[in-house]
Amino acid sequence: MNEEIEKLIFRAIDGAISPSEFNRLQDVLEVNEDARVFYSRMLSLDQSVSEIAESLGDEVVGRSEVRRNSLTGIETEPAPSLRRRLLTYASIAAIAVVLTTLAFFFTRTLSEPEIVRLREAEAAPLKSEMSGVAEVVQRIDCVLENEKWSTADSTFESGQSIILLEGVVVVEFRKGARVTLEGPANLEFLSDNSGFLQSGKLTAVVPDSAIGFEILTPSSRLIDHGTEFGVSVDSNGDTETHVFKGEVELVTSHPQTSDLNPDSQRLTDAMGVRVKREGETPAELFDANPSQFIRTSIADSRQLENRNEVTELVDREHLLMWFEAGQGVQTDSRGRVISWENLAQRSSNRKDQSLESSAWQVNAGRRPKWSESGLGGLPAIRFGGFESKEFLATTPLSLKADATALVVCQFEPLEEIGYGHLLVLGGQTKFVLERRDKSEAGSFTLSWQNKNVPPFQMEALENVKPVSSHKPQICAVRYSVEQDVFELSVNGEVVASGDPIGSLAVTASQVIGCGHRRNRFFFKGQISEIVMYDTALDQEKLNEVTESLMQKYKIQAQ
Amino acid sequence: MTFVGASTLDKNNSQEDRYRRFVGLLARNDQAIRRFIRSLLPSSQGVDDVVQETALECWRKFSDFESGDLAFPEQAQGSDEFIRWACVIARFKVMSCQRDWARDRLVFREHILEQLAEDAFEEIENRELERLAVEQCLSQLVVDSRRLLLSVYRPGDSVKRIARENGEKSRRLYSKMNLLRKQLLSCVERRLAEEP
Repeated sequence: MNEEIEKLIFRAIDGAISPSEFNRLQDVLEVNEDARVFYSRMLSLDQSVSEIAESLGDEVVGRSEVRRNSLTGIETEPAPSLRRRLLTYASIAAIAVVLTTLAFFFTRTLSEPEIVRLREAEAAPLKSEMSGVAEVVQRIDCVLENEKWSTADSTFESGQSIILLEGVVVVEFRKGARVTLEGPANLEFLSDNSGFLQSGKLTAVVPDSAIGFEILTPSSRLIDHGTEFGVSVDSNGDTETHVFKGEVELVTSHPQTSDLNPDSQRLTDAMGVRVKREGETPAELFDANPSQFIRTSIADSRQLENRNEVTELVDREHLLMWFEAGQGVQTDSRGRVISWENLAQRSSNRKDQSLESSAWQVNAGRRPKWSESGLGGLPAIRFGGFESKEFLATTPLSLKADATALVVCQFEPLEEIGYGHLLVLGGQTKFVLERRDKSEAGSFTLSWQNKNVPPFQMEALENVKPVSSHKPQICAVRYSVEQDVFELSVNGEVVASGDPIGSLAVTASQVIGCGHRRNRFFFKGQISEIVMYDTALDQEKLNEVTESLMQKYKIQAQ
Repeated sequence: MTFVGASTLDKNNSQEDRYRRFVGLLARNDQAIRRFIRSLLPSSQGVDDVVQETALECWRKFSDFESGDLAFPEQAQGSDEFIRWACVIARFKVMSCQRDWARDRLVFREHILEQLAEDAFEEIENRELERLAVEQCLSQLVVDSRRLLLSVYRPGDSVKRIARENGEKSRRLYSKMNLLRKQLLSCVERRLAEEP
């Protein structure tokens, strides 16, 4: 979270926020879940501290009647605990109002006022003609400065800028160039085939229709000749260009020195160049490093694929999620997972566009680590638990009422009792597969919960026999209200069952590796594969998939 | 002469029992409801008004809560259920009050309010654990830091005043205060994450 947002939140909590700052804060809270969670947690903490201070009264500064300030040692007379008393009075006053009103209720029956008022329907926003030079076509966990005054429009005219505070957006220029912008970044749209990157990072995929696409920076001008490339501009205005594929022409121009005689050079496949904004330092060549950039094109992000170990899956037309750590994983230069492609659409041949999804982590500090030799000698993704707060979140997926899910994972021993969510599905209602663990052994817990709106319900299943932290496990769940199935299996054996409560249907981002609010229940261990169907498979089919996974990961039945 | 009939007496007794039960529940849970309401308002201004309105509405609807009908068929009648039930009512009261206040006070946009309410609902059951964790974490802070954090909640105190007393710049003390808050939050979250 950036410093500005933190300051706004603290000012709000302290009651010192101005109306314009408050508007800004609302803009942030609206789109940035991390900020909203931080705000709620800080406010809650503030209230707890306030309650504790009130309950301590004068003990806050010790038993002495004289208060010595901790920083200067200046002594002051203790003030009465006025605020505490006022709060108590306010509470009593509220009850007193009820009390005095009771007599009224005892003697006559009142018609109940309407509690729920219908919300005013929001006026449908006017859709402007798509006349801009570029438009946002995908957003991944992002905060856009452009939307802070609620005049959000996904199209941009020449001369307008997109200021990305956090996350990733994909922008398509009218002529077809597709740019992935990684926050924080500032990109100005110059025309339908050119832009000025003031700061930040982008990658561009340029089709034939857009050859000649240009990106200008404070120190360079890049002219595409049919390619894919990445550009980064640091806070000094220095520019790095990495060519992933094809050819780019680089023109360097330093206004103070050589503007009249700009240098031009051709960069080809796998070449990189660094150009300083100031001075006459010559451009420095190096090998291009694609892992320094986030790339959103699924076709281009399959860096680890074509492995032989492919799971034999049944009922592929019902696949909703299929994440396999050996395929479709995009890693950064530290081997951390930027994105994990959902293979469901490719595998099922379904034309459902919403299945063209991935699980993402745009925040470099919270990416889980990819391991080539994880479970059963096959790749896995390792989540570091509470210490590192790593997780992945999918682009929104539509769940149906029923589901079958299988997760191939292995716990890591914990020093203390801990919880870690492997998979959290849902929105208002949640379907949570968690690891409940004590040191060397642990258990899976599966719960269906609705804690937000009445009636509040929860049904949880847990395996009695603990599972080892030293071996891979396959945890499977089947859920269907219609078929009255709610079962938890470990390595092919049904270990717990219960009563299904309600539908799972929702369209939401699903979370892998922590709780849905992304601030707790961080999983510590490895996950190699997640398979999820939007239907409850029958037992025979589930056994078939389980068997296939057990063979693949060399897991013995317990 | 007229006599009060037995049925009327029974009715009044039953009404009195309900009243006692209601006031008991309200008094026990007042702080949790107040806390929920505060989490939906941009400042503490107006919290008391909404608490009062909510308390009244809860009484009006109390028979629904007791009988467990209408929107709450599965509700038991315990304290936790009362808080959740009251908070549902409080949420609508906040929305209603905010519409009235929109002209002259800072108010949250409705969809942000809903998101905050959803977050706050989830935290209802954690309030005691969190309070305990805060106490434990506060006790781990060095004395000076704990004093600074707590003293702003003392009547008549403020960061500005402490800064003046100490000859420090308020801005610097605010930064220190906010850093302490973040440390405290991190400690509390760690403890909560370790809770079974």
